[in-house]
Amino acid sequence: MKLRRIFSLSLGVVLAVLVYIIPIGNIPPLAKRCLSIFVIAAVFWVTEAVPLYVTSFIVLLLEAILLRSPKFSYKIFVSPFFSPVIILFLGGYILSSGLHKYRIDRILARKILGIFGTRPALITLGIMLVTGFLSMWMSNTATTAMMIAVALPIIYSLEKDDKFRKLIILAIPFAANLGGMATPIGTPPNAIAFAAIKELDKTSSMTFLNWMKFAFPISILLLIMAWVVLLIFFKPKEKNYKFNIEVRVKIRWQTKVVSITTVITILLWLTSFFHHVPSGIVALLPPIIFLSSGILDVNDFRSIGWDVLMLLGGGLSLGVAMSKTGLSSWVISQINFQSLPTFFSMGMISTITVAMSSFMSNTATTNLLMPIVTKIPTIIPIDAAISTALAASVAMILPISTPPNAIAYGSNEIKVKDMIKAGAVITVVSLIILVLLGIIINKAR
Amino acid sequence: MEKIKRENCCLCGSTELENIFQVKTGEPVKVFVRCSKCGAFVARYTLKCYTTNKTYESYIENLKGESESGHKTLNEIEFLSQDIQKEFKRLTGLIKTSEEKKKIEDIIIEDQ
Repeated sequence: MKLRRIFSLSLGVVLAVLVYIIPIGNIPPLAKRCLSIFVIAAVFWVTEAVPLYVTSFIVLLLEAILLRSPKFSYKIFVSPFFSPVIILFLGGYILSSGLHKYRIDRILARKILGIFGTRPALITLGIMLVTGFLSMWMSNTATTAMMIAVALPIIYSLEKDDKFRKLIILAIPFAANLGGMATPIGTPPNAIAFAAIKELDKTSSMTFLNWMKFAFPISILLLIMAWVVLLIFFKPKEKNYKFNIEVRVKIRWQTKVVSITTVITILLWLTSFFHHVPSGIVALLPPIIFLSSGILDVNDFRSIGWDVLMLLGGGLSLGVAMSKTGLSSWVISQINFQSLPTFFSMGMISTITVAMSSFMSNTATTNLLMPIVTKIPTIIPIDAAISTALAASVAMILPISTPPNAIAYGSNEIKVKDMIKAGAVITVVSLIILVLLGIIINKAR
Repeated sequence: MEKIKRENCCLCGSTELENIFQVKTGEPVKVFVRCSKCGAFVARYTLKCYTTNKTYESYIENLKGESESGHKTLNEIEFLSQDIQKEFKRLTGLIKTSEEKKKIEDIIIEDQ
């Protein structure tokens, strides 16, 4: 075992034990125990001392042992692991798996890219729009990997010193990060916010479509901003480029079924105001169709992102624990938010989210922050949930900030400083835009 | 425990072999090994992951699921590109001195 891992594990345990035994003001006893669990989860999620999803299991185990109470059963901590939002994500993964297996994502990408002409700015915009669109429905990581695979022949055909190479390779992860903001299934932090909103307000009108109504325009706005920033930093050598983007389409019955199911599922997600079937239930359609028809087999089912689903489950479970034990309210009561203006609080939570998710998993960041930020008295909980989720997606300064960034960096086409200079500007401008939009929406209410 | 062995034809003993790939929709990719000298069937593998000497390209081609950690993804890419080349060099050196005498199927069964 590496020394760093031993240190991280020890640090988590020691800090959690210290929190458990040291008297802390007026904190309720169960909330104090929950704080210990929170501390161990935070240390393990930040340091990745154990795989991220294993921390979720540790959280559940500790909740069941430490938070035993006549007031609630341990089952309330288990149920988030198969909550509607987990089913929604599961459905999204199966959909994504079908699109990927039958190369529909690649066919779509090549077909759309073919219409963006010969000017480098437009080609880049095309790449970013296609990546952004696909990452709305597929995982950001899978979209980036697929788009880079599509773009590599283009990149390799360019001269070594042509900045267009860097432009393309950076445009893909940034577009995937930003595109994922647009739908509740685009990226796990959205799902966490979606679940939190439903939990906070059982009568909430937050639906798949309602999420897209605000997140989609923001995502497009940030995509265009990122495109402009990248074009400023990485000016292509030529005014026109001619690429041969080959589209070889072999339509099989499976391709047709996957395509039709995808369209129907998305339409059902967008029209829940009409049929009132929850999006989590609609998400069962792709698994039922793909797995019963043999389009996907048990190996495909086994290979979907179960680790991410468990990570999500752990975060949701921790949120339930923090809320039920009163820890969230206690933490918030320790800070005098009433004296802080709303815009300051909004700015603060978004900045903290960006800072944390620049160095650690976006999902883990959102898992830790969501139960706290939604209790801030001066911010409407829904606004706080959305701000946190969206802010988690705009952190893209370093190669380790997001898996898409890491994939792009792994290509050896860019240096860390290339990613930092463009990523920092995009992150900061996105953050400012998100905070300003948050304030405007808050004031308009 | 590590054992290494070059594959050879069970009929003529030749190590000159050809890999024939079978890619069938909905099924895992299979590799049939044929002896170049006598044309006999030698073995069949079911492919789990195909990595060429362009390791980065192989990585992104094989990546289909979600990843949650930028750290982990970066480590995987770096490990893959460095490790495969390093391991290949080590094994080609080792095969000259420590090649296993037993048949491949026996080595695999013993290990299980």
